[in-house]
Amino acid sequence: MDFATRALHAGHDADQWGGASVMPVVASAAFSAKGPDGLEDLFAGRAAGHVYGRLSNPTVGALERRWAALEEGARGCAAFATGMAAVSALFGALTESGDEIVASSSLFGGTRAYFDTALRRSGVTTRYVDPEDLDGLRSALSPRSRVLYLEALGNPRMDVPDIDAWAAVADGAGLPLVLDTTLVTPALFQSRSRGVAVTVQSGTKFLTGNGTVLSGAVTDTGRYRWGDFPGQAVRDTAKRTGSHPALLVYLRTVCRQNLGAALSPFDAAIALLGADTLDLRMDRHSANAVALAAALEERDDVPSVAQIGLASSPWHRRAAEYFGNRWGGLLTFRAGSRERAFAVLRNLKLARVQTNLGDARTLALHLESTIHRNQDPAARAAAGVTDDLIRVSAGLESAADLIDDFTQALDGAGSES
Amino acid sequence: MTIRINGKTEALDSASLTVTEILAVRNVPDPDMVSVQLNGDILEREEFETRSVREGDELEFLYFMGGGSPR
Repeated sequence: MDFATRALHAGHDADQWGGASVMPVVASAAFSAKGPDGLEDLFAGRAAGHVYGRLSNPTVGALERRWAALEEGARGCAAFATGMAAVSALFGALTESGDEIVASSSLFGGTRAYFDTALRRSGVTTRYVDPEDLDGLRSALSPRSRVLYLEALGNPRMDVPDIDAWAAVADGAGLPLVLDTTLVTPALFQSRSRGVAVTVQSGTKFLTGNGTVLSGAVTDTGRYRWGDFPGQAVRDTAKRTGSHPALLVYLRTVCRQNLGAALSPFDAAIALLGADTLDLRMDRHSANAVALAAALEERDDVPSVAQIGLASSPWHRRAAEYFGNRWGGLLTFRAGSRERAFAVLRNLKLARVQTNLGDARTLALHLESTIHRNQDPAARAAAGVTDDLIRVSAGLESAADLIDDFTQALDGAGSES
Repeated sequence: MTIRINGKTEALDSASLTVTEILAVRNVPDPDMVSVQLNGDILEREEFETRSVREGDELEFLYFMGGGSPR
């Protein structure tokens, strides 16, 4: 089946739910078994079924099958309450004190904050490298390296790393490449065929869209043999389960069960509705982002615009190859000064000032004063954040209305002297 | 053939089946998330298509979907 069809149909068997077209919300904290013997069989794994909502739920299970089906060839997916819960669960599975990860320096501020605080305090060191510096990447690897971590489209730098090259380095080192595909979703990028072992996504963003519920996903693309993983927790799991399910078993039965960041079945049902329209939405988000970026690029009072659909983007050609001439819904532009950036944001009438992206409505944000405010200058520079930078998540409105809104906002903000 | 699956004796209408075929007969929905032991050996996913199950064999399917811990 093609992507758009899988995004609509996978994971839900209507015949099992009275013919319901849409997967119902199963609002039950716990589930009965056939007496104590049946419950013991479920706990022992000898029977398939649900026990308690922190571990699994029918609605959440349908969403996990839907999300897994978006990634061709994937073994499965584990859903979490938020994108950061998914990221932290994954590193809880793959690392322990004394381990190292090698990560791109072009990262979402929330991920970087997690690596530099909670993960660091658990004894795991992150070595950051410029994603274009492949020699630096190779030299950053050590015997304690466990994971290579990258974003398919850097947020907010709007750069597209050489994922093929990172995957080759990961393969050579016998390590899994983990890719954050939040900004592009599987609609634009199929990870397994490019050598990616695991993807993480904030389901809150484009994957669900609409700006509704928080959620997160870890997807095992099926490419990595977990019995060969150097980290002890997942490798030991593989000895008991075989390689193929080891990561997801550990994520579900240790990370989610013990740490508790389970996704609500209500939120899972809304996320399923969002997945229905993913392919359509990504078309419109991409078209609107490029149209707005092109209009901003025409202005003399906008020093720079970053959107991978623009021919001026250094990553345009690579993005076209990876993402099939769809460009994602994000763009950034510089307003000339911090004060003018604030004035532009105050003047917007249609676009909303929010710290989110992937909403059906267009959102705009000053990054230096919000998501990146606690970063040191070097980290901020590596992420491409200047004090006049505005990030825009293009929504699904008419492109003409969006361009009009930003035009009047910039005109009303005066020119920067 | 008669085999044991998760400790219970089961009669199957064939002299030999692959693990994949047995998972299909039992309507197991998600083979990628099932752990399989054949006569005590843990099988890797790629062996599901190639390993044959014969008379007297013992199979353990572990689901890890609804309960339990690998530890």
